[in-house]
Amino acid sequence: MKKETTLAIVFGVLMGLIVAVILIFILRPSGEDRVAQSDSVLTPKSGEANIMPLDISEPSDREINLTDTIKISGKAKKNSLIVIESAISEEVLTNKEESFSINFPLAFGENLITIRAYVDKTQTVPQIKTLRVYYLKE
Amino acid sequence: MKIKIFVLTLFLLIFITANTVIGQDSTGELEEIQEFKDKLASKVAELQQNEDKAIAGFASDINKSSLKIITSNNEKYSVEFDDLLTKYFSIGNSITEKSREDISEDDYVIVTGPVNGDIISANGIYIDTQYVSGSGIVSQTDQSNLALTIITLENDTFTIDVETSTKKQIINIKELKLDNVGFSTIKAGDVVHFIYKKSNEENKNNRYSADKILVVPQEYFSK
Repeated sequence: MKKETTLAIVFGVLMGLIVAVILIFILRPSGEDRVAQSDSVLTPKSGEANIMPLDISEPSDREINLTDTIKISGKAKKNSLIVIESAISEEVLTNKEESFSINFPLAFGENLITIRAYVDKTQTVPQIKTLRVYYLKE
Repeated sequence: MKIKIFVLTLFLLIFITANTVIGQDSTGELEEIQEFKDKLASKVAELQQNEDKAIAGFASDINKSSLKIITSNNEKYSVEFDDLLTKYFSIGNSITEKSREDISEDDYVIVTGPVNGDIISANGIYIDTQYVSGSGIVSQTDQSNLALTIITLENDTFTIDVETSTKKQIINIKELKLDNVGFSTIKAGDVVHFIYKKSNEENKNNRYSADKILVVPQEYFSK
């Protein structure tokens, strides 16, 4: 083997080692950075793609009411078809904004109020909330 | 004599001063006690309002001092009566006052009063009707028996009898309002919401007589 060839091989191996050292110890992120990166990946992100669940802020379940009308307020995905039903009444509405609110009549005694939101016209499965509200005079 | 007058005057002055001071103290104390009583009463009323809940279920194990109820979520409560405080009512077309003896096994009762764990100290007991609601997709319509076979979200199959007394409505998808509907208009594929009265008797066939149905036509979903 010629002297130049041996030098070229040694030079090549040395260069390879230097590049490997640079990649492993200098450019590789530290443990803390990697934990931070993995954390940021694992954190659930809220975005428009997530489906907004039907949420009823009032009334609460098993609430006692002393009048014959109750205000039902909540939030659902915009432009949902919202159907509110009890044994004595029913209301249909669409929400231009996420929030919606409506006055709803109560019968004396227990009122089983079912609120269904059809958030997507391609889905026949609604989001459902069921409340029992009691109109009782003490 | 002068000494006597001086002593008497001094005694009178001490008496008047002491009386005034004692009077002031007792008046002040009374005011404080009254204020404390008012605060206590207001706090008790507030706590009572917060603690008073209504819990409904089917009655069982009725005796002179208590009964048991099982809610629709299968929670069990013991309801304690108070001879002086507890009032009994029946809810029908009107509200009528009843007595403890009018409550029967399997009556659906609403109990109000403070709840401590699974014990309710009843202030009021109302005999009422339990309604149940459900929804699903119509899989079959039986024109001769006016019955709908509905498959729910939970994949349960219900047979819903549509009586002449059943309130029947459909969502007008153009105007988004409710219209009355005839049985013949309902088709397989429509979504139906239904409400019926529940009794405590076991119903193995999942067949119920609807008090009302509300139809969301399938055309709404295919728009």
